[in-house]
Amino acid sequence: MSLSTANLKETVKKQYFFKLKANIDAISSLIGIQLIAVLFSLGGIGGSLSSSEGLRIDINYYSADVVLVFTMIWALVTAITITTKPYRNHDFTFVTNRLSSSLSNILFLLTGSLLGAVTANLSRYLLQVIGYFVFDQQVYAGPFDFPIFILGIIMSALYIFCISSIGYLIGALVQVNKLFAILVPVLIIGSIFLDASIQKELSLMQVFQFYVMESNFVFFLIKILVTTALVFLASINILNRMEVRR
Amino acid sequence: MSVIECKDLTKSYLRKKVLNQISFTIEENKITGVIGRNGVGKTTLLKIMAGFIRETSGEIKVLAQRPFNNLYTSVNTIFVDDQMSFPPALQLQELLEAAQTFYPNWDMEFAQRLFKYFNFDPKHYHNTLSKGRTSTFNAIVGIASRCPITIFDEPTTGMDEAVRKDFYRALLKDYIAHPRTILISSHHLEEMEDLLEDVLLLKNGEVHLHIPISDLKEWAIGLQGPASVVLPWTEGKEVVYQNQIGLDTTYVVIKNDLSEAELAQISLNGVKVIPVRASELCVYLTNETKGGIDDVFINR
Amino acid sequence: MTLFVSIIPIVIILAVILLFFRLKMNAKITHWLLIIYLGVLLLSLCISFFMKVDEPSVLVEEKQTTDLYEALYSGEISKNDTPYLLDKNSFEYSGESLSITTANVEEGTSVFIERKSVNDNLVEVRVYGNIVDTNGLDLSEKILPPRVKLSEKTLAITYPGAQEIKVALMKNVFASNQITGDKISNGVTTGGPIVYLRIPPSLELKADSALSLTEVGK
Repeated sequence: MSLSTANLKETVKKQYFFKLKANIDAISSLIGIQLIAVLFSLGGIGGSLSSSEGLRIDINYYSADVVLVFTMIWALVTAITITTKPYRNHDFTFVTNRLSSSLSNILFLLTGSLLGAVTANLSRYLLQVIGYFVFDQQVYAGPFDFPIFILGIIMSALYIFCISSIGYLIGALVQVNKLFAILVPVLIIGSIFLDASIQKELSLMQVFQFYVMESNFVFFLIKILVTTALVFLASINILNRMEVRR
Repeated sequence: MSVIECKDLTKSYLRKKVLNQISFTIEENKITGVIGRNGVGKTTLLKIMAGFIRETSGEIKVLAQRPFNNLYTSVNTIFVDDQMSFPPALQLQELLEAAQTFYPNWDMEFAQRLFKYFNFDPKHYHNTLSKGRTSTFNAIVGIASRCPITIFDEPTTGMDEAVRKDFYRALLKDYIAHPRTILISSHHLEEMEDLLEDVLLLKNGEVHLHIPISDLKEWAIGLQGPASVVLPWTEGKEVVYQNQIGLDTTYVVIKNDLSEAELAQISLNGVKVIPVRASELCVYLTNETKGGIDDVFINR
Repeated sequence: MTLFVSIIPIVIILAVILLFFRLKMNAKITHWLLIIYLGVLLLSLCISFFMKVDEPSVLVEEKQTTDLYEALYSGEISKNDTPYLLDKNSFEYSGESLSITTANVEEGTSVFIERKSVNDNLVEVRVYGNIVDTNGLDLSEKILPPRVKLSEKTLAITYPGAQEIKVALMKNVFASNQITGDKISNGVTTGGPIVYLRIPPSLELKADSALSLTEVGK
């Protein structure tokens, strides 16, 4: 029997296309979760304000924010899911090593992030149309601004992808030791309580603001890409030592 | 050329040693049966070969490389067992197509013929198959992938008798047409006797025997007769099994290093000399006690 | 009836979700689901181009630099053309005193009075007001201004009463707002509507007690 050689790039490519088919259920859940988010967004965020001269203003703000947040949660859960045993075992049925398995997972998450970002940003028009035809609500949206639309997709994708990297890390840690499944939430909630008890600004909030308050696109890009890369790198290293199908 | 080499290979989980400093080599294009009791480390050994789990110490080389985390050994190796994991979202036909993209030697036409022969529905899903059907499907993937190193761990779990026979026959025919190195672990040695070339017998995490099956068939003989006549013959011999049958009849299996003359003498003494089947011998060899389960019931 | 119609799409969406939960094993369904979903989203984008929505005007620079009430109190507001102006009118009046009557007024509503330096026998009426949301959309046009009429010796101001302005705004996702600088918080700045009278220097005003007359620019 002639021996075959395998290179990493080819293997990752094959695994990536395999995963697009194998993890198709993740796409269904993305659509489901976004539709639920659209339902939640239909009410808008109301703000009414009374002015002294008998004027009452009722402004209802609509946005795809809830859809985007739900998509982020989806990315987190999906990333955790694909680190679990059954999913890793799928890889090891065929040709793989741990690096190619992780790399193809990351490519899959990137694809999901892009798809999620595009659909989340498009969902505002669905909101607008439903508002207009169903609730007879004229929603002012301003003129269609293509650069802003593209910016929205890119920024959303970066956030979703970064969240997915965190999910992947959490998943990897849990695979090393199930205790992390308890430890991670305890650490997060614990830090919130600790900061609150000593009347300090939440450290989690400060981490959050490091990204959210950055208004320079290039700086933001560097911050979030470096973060995402480091987190993925850590996960790859953790998973690289894992035994499968024990 | 040896394709698998183990030297002092040890694997322990926590403190317990599952494999204890085992050393052996497996030659190219041989069909080797990995035999042993449950929990003796067969699966562990095979999974180390497949690169699934890591050796604790010692050395293992598959195709001259360490298999753990190795793409080269992964593409040239397939590990088949009933735990083989396939994505639930893909239909059986799609799984075959996926296997085709991964394994360069995959023979799709052959796979389809086996698929049809065993009456699989291309539109079914792997997780809805029964135990036996799962094993059958996995075996198809294992054979059709034509990996230079093909590992079957209890491939016939749940298969009915007819399918088991078909499987061994298909494996043998495809092996003759496309020779490769095959390792099979199974409880059913008697079914595989015609298929195997070598036997690797594991006991207590160690290699107890690694010999051609033809040698194994001659390895021992059984002596049956009155204890007073039989027992003197077993003195100084390696006794594998000893059991009391009836009131005054003893059955003893010893390693066959008796000469022709001695055998003739034994027969004259009224002792029945019985050849020991390889599968029977394996059971005796892997027993902890000389008398098997009967030892539990004596001297209470 | 409207309620019934509005429930239909929600029922459809729920049905689709339930359907895919039941059949989620089938990859083919997911492909169709994705295609339909993307199709609906893109169709919505197209439809949104054709939906007739009267756009609010974009906030002009001056409103960002000057405050309505500051401008009112200083009396400077009448000197130049201001975007705060909602309505404008003037009446010839040569009498010595003028009484102001009101309708639908709230207790304590201010009317600003500016005395002109020269007597041109003209009572000029301006109505100022402002509604601006934090994202820079100017909704001032939606204010119904008070109607002011002069008859005999009486200036009648009819306030529109309690008026409610309902607006729905679509915001960009927060992810892009952080770069574009749009506010993440929602809010609105309001002022008015306020009646501002420019009157001859010596004209005496009599107003009912509900009104509070504020003379400016002195």
